[in-house]
Amino acid sequence: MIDLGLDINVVRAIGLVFVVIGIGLWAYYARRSKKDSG
Amino acid sequence: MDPLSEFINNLVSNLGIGTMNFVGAIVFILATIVFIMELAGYRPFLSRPYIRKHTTKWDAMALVTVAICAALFGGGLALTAGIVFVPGIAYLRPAQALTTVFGILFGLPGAMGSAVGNFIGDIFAGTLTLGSVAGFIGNFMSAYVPYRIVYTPGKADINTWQDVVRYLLAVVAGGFVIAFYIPWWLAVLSIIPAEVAWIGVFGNIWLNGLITPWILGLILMKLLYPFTRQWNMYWADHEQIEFEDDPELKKAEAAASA
Repeated sequence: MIDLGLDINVVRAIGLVFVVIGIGLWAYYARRSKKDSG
Repeated sequence: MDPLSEFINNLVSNLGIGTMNFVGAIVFILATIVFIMELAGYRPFLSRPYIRKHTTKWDAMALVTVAICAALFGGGLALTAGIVFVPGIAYLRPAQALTTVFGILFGLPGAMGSAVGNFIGDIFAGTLTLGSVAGFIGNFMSAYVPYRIVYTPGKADINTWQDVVRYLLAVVAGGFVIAFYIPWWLAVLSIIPAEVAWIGVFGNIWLNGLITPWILGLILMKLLYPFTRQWNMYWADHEQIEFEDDPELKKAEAAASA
């Protein structure tokens, strides 16, 4: 088993960063895709 | 022991580890074949011709969709890590609802994003083992099965009771596949003892695969479906496939004939 040994709060903070990146990407491409379709 | 754990314990005891292994083996083999076929560009059907080419193209937008789904699911798993559901037995994974939603909204890229997202979640949660291989394909299937069942826009908008029932059954089918897929792999490779795999892990995956997608997933579907259509990110819009039951198409036809 590969365990990075991260504290649970660090894991949650990294998770939050990923969620923000995901929402940001989604919002960016949603805007672009809407524009492309006219 | 709480009633839920007792129910699963009784179920597995009555069926026996042998039966669970047998069902698990069948589910594992079929699901792995489907996964490989989909990667190769082919899709199995229940009617003739039984194998057809699918319409998903792995273009830039599909890869972006994989990245979005992976970031949201992996991040969601890490963000909600360690919520105890049944002490000593089960952890609650609210993010599990996302796999069903991503599968239905984004199709194959959504399913692949769910698989990659689970891998990311395993890395940060410190649970990256050989079992993560089954986690990868299992989570792909937990998105893929609902996608195949709630396949058309007329079904995915969940506007009627039939749509709700179909969605709930699709979740059961997806949960069934992942709940048998992962424990079988863990038991066969002796990563954990078979009893622990079929009582602890099976119950945990089964409950998470049902409860959160049933409640949270249904809410997310109702919220996100209209926007996904509006943003041209729904899988059938992206793959330019038209369905007769598409409410948007019917609206456009009515407007054109008026």
